Amino acid sequence: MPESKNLLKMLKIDKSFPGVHALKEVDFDLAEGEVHILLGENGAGKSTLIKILAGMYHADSGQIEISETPTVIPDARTGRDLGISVIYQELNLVPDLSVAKNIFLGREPVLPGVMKRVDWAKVEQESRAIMERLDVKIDVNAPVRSLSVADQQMVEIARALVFDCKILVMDEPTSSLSGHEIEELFKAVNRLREHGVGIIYISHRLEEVHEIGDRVTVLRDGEYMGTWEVKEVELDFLITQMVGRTLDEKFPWTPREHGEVALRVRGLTRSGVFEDINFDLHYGEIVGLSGLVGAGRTEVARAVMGADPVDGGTVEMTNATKEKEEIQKLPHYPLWMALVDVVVFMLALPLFTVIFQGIYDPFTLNMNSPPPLFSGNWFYEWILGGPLYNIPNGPTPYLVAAGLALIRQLGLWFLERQYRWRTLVVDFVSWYALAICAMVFTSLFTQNFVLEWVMIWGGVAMIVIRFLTILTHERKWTPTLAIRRGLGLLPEDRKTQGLTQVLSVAFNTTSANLRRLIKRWLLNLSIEKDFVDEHIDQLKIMTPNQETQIRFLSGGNQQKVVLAKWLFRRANVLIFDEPTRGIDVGAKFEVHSQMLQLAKDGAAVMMISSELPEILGMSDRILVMREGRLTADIDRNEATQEGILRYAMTAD
Amino acid sequence: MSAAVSAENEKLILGYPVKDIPWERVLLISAFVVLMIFYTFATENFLTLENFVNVVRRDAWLFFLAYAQTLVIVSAGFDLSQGSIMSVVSVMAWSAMLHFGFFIGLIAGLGIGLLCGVVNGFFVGVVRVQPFIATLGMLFIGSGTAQLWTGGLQMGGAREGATLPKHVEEAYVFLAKGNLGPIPFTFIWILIALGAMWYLLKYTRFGTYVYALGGNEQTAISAGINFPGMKIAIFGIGGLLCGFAGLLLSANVSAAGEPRLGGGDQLLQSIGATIIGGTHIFGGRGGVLGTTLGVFLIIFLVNGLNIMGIDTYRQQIIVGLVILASIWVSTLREQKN
Repeated sequence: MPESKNLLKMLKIDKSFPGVHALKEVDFDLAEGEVHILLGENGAGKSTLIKILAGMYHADSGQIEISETPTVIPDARTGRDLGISVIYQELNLVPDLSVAKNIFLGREPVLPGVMKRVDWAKVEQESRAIMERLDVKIDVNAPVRSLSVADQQMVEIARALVFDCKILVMDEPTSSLSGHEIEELFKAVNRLREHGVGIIYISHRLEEVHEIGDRVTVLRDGEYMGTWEVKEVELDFLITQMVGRTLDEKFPWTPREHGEVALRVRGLTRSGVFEDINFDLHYGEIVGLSGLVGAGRTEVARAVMGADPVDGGTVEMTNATKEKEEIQKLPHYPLWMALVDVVVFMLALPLFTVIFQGIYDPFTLNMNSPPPLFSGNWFYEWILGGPLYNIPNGPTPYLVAAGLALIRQLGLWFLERQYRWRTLVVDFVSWYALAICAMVFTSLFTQNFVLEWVMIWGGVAMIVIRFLTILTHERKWTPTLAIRRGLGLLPEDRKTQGLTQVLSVAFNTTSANLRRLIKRWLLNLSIEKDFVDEHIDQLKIMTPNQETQIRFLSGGNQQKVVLAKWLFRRANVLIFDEPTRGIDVGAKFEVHSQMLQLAKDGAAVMMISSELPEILGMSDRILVMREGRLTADIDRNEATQEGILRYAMTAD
Repeated sequence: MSAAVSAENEKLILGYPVKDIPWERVLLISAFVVLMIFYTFATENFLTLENFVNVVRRDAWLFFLAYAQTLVIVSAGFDLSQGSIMSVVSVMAWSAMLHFGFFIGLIAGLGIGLLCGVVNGFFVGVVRVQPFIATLGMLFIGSGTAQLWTGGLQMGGAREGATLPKHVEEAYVFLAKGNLGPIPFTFIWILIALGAMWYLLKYTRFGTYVYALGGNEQTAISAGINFPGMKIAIFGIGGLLCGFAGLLLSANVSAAGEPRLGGGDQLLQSIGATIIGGTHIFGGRGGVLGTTLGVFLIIFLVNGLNIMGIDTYRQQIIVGLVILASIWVSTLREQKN
């Protein structure tokens, strides 16, 4: 495109955050009708650059020219008015409004007249026109919630067009799309290109560079590496441009003996998130899990922990008890079981009524004489109830009880309740609550209390059935069970998921295992005090005292408290998710040393990290994930930054 | 892409593709019909024009309250102060009527309702207090003010000394009980309110923004919608409707200033009718047509029970069960999606 006009020029953009120099004099430019791909590792500064363009951040220095006029973009609104639209990964739509209304949200045309009527016909018509322009078939009257993610993305693009956008930024648009949907998206992008829109395209998929891009710019560590015509560059060249971070950091790594397998993961799958994950983790080993943000690393860790449901696969922890636990999607409460429950209940109903009538009336607290075992016609007395006992008048209570039972069972079926031990307790309680409600309710309108007995014994029968069913099923892998087996997860977002910010260091350390503090039915806080003191020393947690609230601690010290929490829980298989994110260099070294010490003491450690130097520096073995799949299992000695990045970014 | 293709191939029932049938609405209408049939057979006087007119005339206030609540809830808000706005409006409008005549009193009542609503909206939109908290404050302030105004007594009616002039009182009562030819006045008020709200929500930018705010507040704000202004307008309109409901109810009860007018279960009934009518409690979905159905269901359910001679306590239990059932139905549907 030799004659195409220059849309955007960003010159010597510089931006620092406290502690990080995010962008170092970055240049960027975009021509009309061009797809300019922005490449870089995690944290290379791509999103900072985009946010500066969109007006969400302000550059410390540098100049932005739009259509060759120097421009200042003070806020997001100005950015939009200048024709800059950003489509973020999280889509920004109102789910209940129709596609057309979403496209025109905030700028609906109003018909002339006092009634201020919105011209919905025009909105619909123009939305259709835009959809045609993009050549996609979306019903513009359908609510957005009924669309697939890909279609929602099209709606976002359409919306950008209505805002008369000249510069469209797409942040990883293909990360949640399937192959066919990506094709559709590319078609739409090509159509935009024909209309002269300049597109900045951020992607982690290197294949897409040649498929859709015109030019490509690489950032590394906030530095501008260069811009090339896509036709002139090879993928390998781009990869070498992206890596090459200096390895000047020190890592306290030493070789160790590895023990037997601590954690064995086989075929772990969660559709759309990750697929067929297999790996072993040995005692005394540190395994690094690398990959780009969004490759599914955290999700795998959470699934191994039992925190998220999975569609298939097993997690096996071979700890001292050698017990095998299976992750398995348990069968839902099946319809046949619901029907069996109802039938049993309805059969039990007249029988129990007859048998237990007259023994004990809970309302009057009268003990009546029990029915005679035999006084002539047993069939008459035991099966039909006979005239001796108070048989409820009319069918009403039976119908009400049967109706309630039916509603409950169908409800259970709908809600896809799973069998668990806890379910049993819940069942028991809810059944009795229901029985009492039903009793009170019917007693308001009728005058007998038969129903109570009926419900109670029906409930007992049902719980026995449920009990037997549970015995025949395997146990579900839950965080409770995983933790009991010695698994500990130090989450990426430690501030909210790992710690309670407003509570003390001591409380946060011991709260995950209060049982360990219990002596004679009470919490013995001296155990807590000793343990926390010892570990404040051992882990070098910088805190005034144990009672300090967590929020006053720095990030590194917070991380150490999370670690102390798992040590208190006696966890020996630990998963660190981004353990050193947002931590300063000194504390980083501390965390790494602790990790190593744990491994030396025989724990199995898995470390998820986006920082290649950390992965290379600390791991004995490196696993790489790409788009929900494990693509590589590399030994420490054979690993290089280029190699890892290649596995993380390209399909083999 | 997929939505359009599948819609073409699908069977249509009454013009709806099968998966888009508004089951909640269908269920609501059929529940109402079943109820009608049941009462018709169970009682003698239920299915008469007189009964129908009486019920709608007496409970007309609930329509306005429920419309106000619907508007607020659709925009992901919540208005707890409706009852006490009714009380304040009742006593203050009565005082204004005593001194300045009927029309000034009417306007004063509506104005005070509007003012209370705008204050609610100010706290929600500008100060950014949670709607629940902001309107809880207004609940206490309103009921306190109403009681302080009158010393806790009913004004007019039984109280000696001050009564409305005869013609003013007649006009006041006429507002709620009068007829225009054969048609009760309240029907006209209800139809006007329904029509206006429906138009507002469906055909104006304001209405679209109400749904947008309820559906995804961040998106709405980033699309340039004026959040504080919208909240003030929404709660303001809500307050205005509450004010009118207060006038109707006090005219209907005694044509007196009643400081505890809205202290009963009026608020709860308006929330109940809104929820039964299919408005989503967290906003974004719903509308006044559904709410109208919800109000009809509640008032006729209660009316039928009254005719059958079942007392208020049991009636409340039954209304509660109906609300739970309606929410259950919508949750089940959501989980399926």
